[in-house]
Amino acid sequence: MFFLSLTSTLGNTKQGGPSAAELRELIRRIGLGEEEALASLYEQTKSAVYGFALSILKNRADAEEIMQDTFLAVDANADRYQPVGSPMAWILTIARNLAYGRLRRAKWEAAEEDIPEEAEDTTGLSEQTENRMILQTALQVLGDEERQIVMLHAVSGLKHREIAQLLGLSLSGTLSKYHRALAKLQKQIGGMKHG
Amino acid sequence: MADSKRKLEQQLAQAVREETPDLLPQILSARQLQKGRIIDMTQELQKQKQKKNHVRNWAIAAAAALVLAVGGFAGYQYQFAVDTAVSIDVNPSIRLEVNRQEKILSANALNDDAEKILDGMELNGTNLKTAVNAIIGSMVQNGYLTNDSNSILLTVDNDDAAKREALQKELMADVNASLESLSMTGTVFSQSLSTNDQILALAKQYNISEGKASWIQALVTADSTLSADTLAELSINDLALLAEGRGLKNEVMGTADESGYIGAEKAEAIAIEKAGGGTLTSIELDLDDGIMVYEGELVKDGVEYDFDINAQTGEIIKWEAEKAEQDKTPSSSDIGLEKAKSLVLQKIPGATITEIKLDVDDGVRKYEGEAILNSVEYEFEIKASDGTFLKWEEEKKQSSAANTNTNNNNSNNNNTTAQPTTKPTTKPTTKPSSITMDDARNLVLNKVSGATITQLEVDYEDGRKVYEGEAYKGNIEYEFEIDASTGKFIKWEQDVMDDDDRDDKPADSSGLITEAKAREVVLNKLPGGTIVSIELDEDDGIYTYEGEVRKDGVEYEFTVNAKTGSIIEWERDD
Repeated sequence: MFFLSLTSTLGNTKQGGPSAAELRELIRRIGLGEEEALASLYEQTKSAVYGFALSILKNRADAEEIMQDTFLAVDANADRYQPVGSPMAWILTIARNLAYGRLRRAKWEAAEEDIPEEAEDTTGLSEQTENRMILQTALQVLGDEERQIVMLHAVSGLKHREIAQLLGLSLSGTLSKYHRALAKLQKQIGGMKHG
Repeated sequence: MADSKRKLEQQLAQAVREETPDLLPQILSARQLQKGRIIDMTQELQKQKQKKNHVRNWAIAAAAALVLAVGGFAGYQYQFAVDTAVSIDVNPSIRLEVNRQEKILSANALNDDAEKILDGMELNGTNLKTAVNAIIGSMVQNGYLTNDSNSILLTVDNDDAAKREALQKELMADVNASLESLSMTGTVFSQSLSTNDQILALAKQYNISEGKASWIQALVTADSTLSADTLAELSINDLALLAEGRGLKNEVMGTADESGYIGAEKAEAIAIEKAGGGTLTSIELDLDDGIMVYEGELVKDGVEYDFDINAQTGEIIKWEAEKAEQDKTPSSSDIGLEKAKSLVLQKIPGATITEIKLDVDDGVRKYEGEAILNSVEYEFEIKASDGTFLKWEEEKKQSSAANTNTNNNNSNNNNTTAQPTTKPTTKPTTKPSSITMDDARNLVLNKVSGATITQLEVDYEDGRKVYEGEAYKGNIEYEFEIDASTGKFIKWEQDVMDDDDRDDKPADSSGLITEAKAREVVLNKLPGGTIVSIELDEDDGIYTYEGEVRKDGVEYEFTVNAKTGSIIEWERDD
């Protein structure tokens, strides 16, 4: 199994990410206008936000843009944040709304000007690591919801219950989609390894 | 199997971490640009009132001009008289003239960009709100409003202060709702204004609205190195930035509204005088039955007073005393504020709770408040003793959908007969939708009664607004799309769920042990251990709690059957 070679690098990647209490406190301080708190929240959640945006948009440049907008929106809305539920889910809801907004606008623009579909992002394919290959595969073979669910679980560290809430799915729906997606991914990667 | 899935996830996470860009510098420099979804200048002004005492001269001049305007219009109030002028500035500048019934008399493009926005729109005779919505929609569609450049200046010019405040507030809510429905985050600056000659001249000279002219004038007054020539070219977003960059935010953007309110401080003084002392706990400017009031709370000797004070006259309109201790002291039998909030969020995940407080009504303790999600406002009351909902109301914010119904009110309903000269409503090209989300839901339920709608959302297909979603009944799954303007089904697909999908039905998850119980099971097995992660999972129809537990530097992975509480898997991780 090729996974074995990677275990050492993965030893310190614990699931769950920053604690909810920690994030809540940071959001509270951002609400008071503290730039340091924003910087700290950014460091702790950037990959979650970027990964989720990428899973919706399938385009790195767009995901970057949404990532930036998300943190600006967090900054602007922090003073109105109600400390209920998962703060990570709150941040990701903002990311989700912004990303979907972008998709809609892209549709309009495409309808109006007939802009060709954004070309698939192939930057740095040559230097692809195994991890990156898996990410690329996930972006390509998984369905919209599957991508988002897997990314939210793997990268953002959300629990299935929170994912279900965020995406408006039932818990069991989320779970079965998650398992199907990972199975699909395993199969695809297995095929690549042997083929 | 579960193990390799976990590894796969970790690799994915690693890949994303590796390629996450570093945008912090950009974010920190851009945060000046976005300081909030809405900045209601009227409210902003109240907050800043005590700090502000300079750069006011022009505002006083504006007040003088107001008197002249009243004189000019008095006694000339019928259908074709211009009652209010509303301008919308982004970079396109549009000026709308409106009669007393809030119908558009004329819509004028003040610059080339605006021409493009109004092209093909026939707004004369339409309801003001419908028109504003259509214009905002068109601005988004034409790329003038994006998440990078998202400031809108909404200016309401009317000689009646109360009316202009009310209209400003309504329009702002409306613009915000339409932005939200487009998933946009915008910054809406709104001001009510009575113009002076200087502003009018400036507006005329540069072909901009009075609203934008008022900003420019304030900027030039405050900083003589700026010239009106260059400023006139800038978008509202840029002007806002410029003002903020010079620390002029409040002066420039807040000065517009000066009309005769007594001010929060004065209102506070009135309230304290009435109560004979006490402490003010809240005060805000609000609109109540068309009257601007200072609404607030004051506590004295354990008694809480709710009051409304007329913002123009200082008259006390409402004065109610409540026993504060009965109200505010939480009782141990209450479920608690946090629990109440989470009950609401369970019903509408992702919503923002805008207000929640404990109240006592006829001896019943309850949490009452408001929440908002996707432009829909919810009002609720939750029994404090057991968490049951006493009230749950949805209220769609005024939007284009609601307005199409009210458009024709004044002209009866027989608009099928040709009335070429007084055609009441000419639909703009960006047609407002005519069915609501609730209508869409009913349409689906009419088709399959008893179905459960699992998903329903607004989407845009080729620029056309649609409701799309999913539903199921029994083992049949339905996907649908409904045209929001006609209520017609564009897509209706049904599919028999296969075995995989069948467990989408949430019924399966009943009778599970709680997470706390699962933790107990694990810690019984490994006394003194620390649970690193635990979560409910499902595989092949069996619910499990999966996770990791650590003791003395050794990690174990566990899987507990969530129905029976037995340990299915226990693996030492070396």
